[in-house]
Amino acid sequence: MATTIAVKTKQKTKREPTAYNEMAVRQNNGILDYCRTSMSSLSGGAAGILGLTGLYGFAFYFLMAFVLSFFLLMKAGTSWNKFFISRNDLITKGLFGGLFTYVLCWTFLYGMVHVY
Amino acid sequence: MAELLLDSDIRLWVFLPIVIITFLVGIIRHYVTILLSSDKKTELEQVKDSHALIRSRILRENGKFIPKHSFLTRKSFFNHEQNGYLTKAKTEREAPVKNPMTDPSMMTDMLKGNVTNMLPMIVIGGWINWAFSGFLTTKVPFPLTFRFKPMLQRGVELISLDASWVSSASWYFLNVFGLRSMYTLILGQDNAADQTKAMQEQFSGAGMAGPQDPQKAFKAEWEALEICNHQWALQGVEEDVTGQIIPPETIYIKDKFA
Repeated sequence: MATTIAVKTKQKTKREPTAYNEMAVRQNNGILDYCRTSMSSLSGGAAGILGLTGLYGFAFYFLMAFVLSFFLLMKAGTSWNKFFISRNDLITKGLFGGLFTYVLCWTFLYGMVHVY
Repeated sequence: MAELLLDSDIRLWVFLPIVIITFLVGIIRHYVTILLSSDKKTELEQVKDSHALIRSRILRENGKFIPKHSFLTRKSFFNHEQNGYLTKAKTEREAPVKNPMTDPSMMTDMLKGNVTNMLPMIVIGGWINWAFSGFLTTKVPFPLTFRFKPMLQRGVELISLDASWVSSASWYFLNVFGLRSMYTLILGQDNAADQTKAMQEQFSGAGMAGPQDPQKAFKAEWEALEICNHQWALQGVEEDVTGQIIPPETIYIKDKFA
């Protein structure tokens, strides 16, 4: 009786190369920007109307920004790597760019409601 | 420092108008730029050059997906020692030195750029300064240090005033720079209302340089392609696709009791 064993010697390639469509990646990043800007201006308006001042306002911004990140992560789900190169992009992209929009809206509505 | 009480007419007649004016001027600038923009005439030679460069770049990036032979064929088309496309282009092509002053279409383009970018900036800025100068309009809702005073209180020189008050002229500038992302929201990604980008280009001179020197671009691309090697990315793709056992040359048979 003879036993024959086939041994696999060839190794699989370590990591799968992935091809990204550059236009699609840019489009997705544009949409991310869009979300960030909307969220910044809306939360800025909310902070202004609520009359938050000082550190509370900035804390509010980061809170809202992370809520948005959470929603984005939920929306992307498990297939995020189909649409974005890095998952961190979903969380941190445009975080500080949105801050300026936030401060402007915050100042604007704070001025409208609370200063005069 | 005691709280200041501002007249609520200032809100209605200074604070709000500045926001609205800045915003609407941005939108008008967007549409005026679209109206004035002329189709750039491109020459056949330029299109050929840029497409050759693009093809070479694509070959560098995605060459790993084609077989080695095909890759080398394409590479030799571009980089062959005697008659490769890029090799010839980088040595023979004369850089056409264009003087922007002699080319009338370029002159009008520059003029239009200035009309739509600089002119509103100067005119509206001046008008705002003239009409709304000297008001304290608002207060930023967070404390700021003394250094911010000249930035936020342009036109109101009061030493004892708290730094978080904002004067009308500074409120205008805050709006000019802060509404940029709002334009992206409303007008779309590549809007023309974004004047700061154009201004940067003007100051650094990058806006005019453009694709002026094809020889340099060819040389850079030739070098990049020269050091680019073929790395086959689809190794073992047949087995992956068919999900079958690997071909026999990679299997050796071990017979235990032979």
